[in-house]
Amino acid sequence: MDMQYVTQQEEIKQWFSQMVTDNMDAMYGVALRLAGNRTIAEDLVAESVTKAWSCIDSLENRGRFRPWIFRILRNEFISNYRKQSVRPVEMPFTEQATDDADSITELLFDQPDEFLNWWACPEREYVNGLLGEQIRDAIEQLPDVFRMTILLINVEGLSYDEASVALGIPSGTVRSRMKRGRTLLQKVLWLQAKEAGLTVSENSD
Amino acid sequence: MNETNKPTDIDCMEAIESLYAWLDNELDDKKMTSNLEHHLSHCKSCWSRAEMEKALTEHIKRSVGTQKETEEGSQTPGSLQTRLDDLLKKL
Repeated sequence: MDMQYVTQQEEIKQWFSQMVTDNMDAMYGVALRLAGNRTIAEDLVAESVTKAWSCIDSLENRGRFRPWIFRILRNEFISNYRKQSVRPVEMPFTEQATDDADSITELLFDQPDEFLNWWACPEREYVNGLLGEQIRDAIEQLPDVFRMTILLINVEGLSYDEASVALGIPSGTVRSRMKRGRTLLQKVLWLQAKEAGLTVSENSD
Repeated sequence: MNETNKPTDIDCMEAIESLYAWLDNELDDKKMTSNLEHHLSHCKSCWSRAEMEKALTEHIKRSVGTQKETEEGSQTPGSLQTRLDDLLKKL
């Protein structure tokens, strides 16, 4: 065999191993969000790595390793695991009615005045006083499409571009889901505060 | 500063539409970035929202991340690390 070819293959192998090691947490994070189950997430990552190595030639630009591997993860998930997923996936990968309203203005249009007053006076102290459990509970209450996007970007640290590949949606939709998801999150937090009697009514003297 | 670089006044709703992308370092439009930063420099309400959203992002990261860590010891489970190490050795 050609020595030069062997050296080149060895170099690719080393580079690939390094990339897998460096991005293990991110891959597992994405897999966990997709599958909603740790065992499946582990299988998904391992199978995606095998798959990725088998089609390493399809990666044209090494700088795009992350979006490339996230695309493979998503494809593997759809073809092998979607049916077994513990969390019922409410079509988070397709365009649908929930993406109709694009702007926050439209989203706020139907909201009660009491919420709008609260929303208009953001208090950092309120956020700092929240318990981890309250935040987790609020995130859990978001519709799937928004929860997934927020978790991939704010927790797993994906860029909008990477999240767009992992979710199979255009990056404009990622952007829209982020701002609308975060606004909905405020609504959930407001409802929590209201339930706990922490909101002050405008009319109370 | 010449006229083209001068930020344009935008209203609060316009600012809020771009705020999340800006907070996530994903606002590519330079003109919009400058308009938004200008708006935040003189609008107390939007500035407070930006600060609150920053704090909330940190809190989400901590709360959801911590949940994962307490459950699993570290981000990636040891079993998966071993499995991947084996897999990579066999390439």
